[in-house]
Amino acid sequence: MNNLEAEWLQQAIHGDDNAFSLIVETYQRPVYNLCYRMLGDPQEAEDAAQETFWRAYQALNRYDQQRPFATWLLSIAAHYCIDQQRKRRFPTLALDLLPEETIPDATPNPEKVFLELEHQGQIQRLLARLSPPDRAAIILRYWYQFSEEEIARSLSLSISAVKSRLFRARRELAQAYEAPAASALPERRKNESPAL
Amino acid sequence: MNHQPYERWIFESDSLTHAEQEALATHLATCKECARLRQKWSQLEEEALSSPVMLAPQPGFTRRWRHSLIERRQREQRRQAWRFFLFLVAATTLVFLSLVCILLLTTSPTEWIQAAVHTLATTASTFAAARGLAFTWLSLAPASLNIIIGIALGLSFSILVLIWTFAIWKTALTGVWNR
Repeated sequence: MNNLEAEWLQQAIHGDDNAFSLIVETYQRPVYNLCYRMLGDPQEAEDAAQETFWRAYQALNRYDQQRPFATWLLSIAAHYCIDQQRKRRFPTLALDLLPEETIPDATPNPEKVFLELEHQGQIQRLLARLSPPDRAAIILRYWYQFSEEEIARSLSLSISAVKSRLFRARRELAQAYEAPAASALPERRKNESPAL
Repeated sequence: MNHQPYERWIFESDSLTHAEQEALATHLATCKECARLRQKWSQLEEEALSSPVMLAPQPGFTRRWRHSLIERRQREQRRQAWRFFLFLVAATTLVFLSLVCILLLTTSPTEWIQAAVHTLATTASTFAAARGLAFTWLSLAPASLNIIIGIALGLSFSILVLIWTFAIWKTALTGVWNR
């Protein structure tokens, strides 16, 4: 957090809503990304990101300023998304509604767009296989480069629990990564009806 | 075959000692299962996890946040006001029930009925006496003074009603405690 953001934070703590809006502007992307990776649906991710900022806004007075603000904010988002995942029975994955910002290059290149969407879809499918806390640990590790200590603090877990979750999640991801090849449809035999 | 600790080491290759790395390499040379897992993990790490894409929300997120902040704050204030009123109702009910319990423990129902009848009778006679007194005073006082007193009483009552309505409206709209 730079000096300007620290100043906004101080102003927000003293009740300045405009300063908090600047914080929202700054952190919207990491928070939204975490929510999307956790929930797999753009609309739910938007709602979860809004809820995260609302919870942060309400809890600003309790924010420990020794702790990095981004870690604290992402911790709120992760906890909220884990709760949401536990509440619903089946994970959703709206691949046709992937956010536009998936493609950083705005050049209209259908093939590139398709491949990128496919790639993002595959990542989401892999993440969807993990339990919510394991998923949160993986996302914080690889998307935000959090250390094991930071993940532990963010998810209210012990470091050994984080290590164990990361190991389990990585193994599951690696095993699932070969699933597309293994589960691909068998090649149609000669004279076989395409309908079958 | 026991794949531990090698299976774990596959995912923690960055933090392994030289000896552990050598032991892992030896195991991978003989264990096809672990070698395959290692290969898949390296592929996944390189293709998907080494430079993950950060997705952004639809444009206008901060504007939507401002709108939602206003709505949420109003909702929270209304909820707070309701909580405050419910607390008041609960406290009043508790006090009333406590008084009833104390009365039940200290007096008998016969005494209650006697006291109630006595209070009713006293109130009715007091009211009748006060009305008689007021009529006498009104008939003796000049008409202009009566009008002034009537206006003053009406205004006082109206102001009280207004203050009460404003307090209810304000509490319902802005809550009891601000952040």
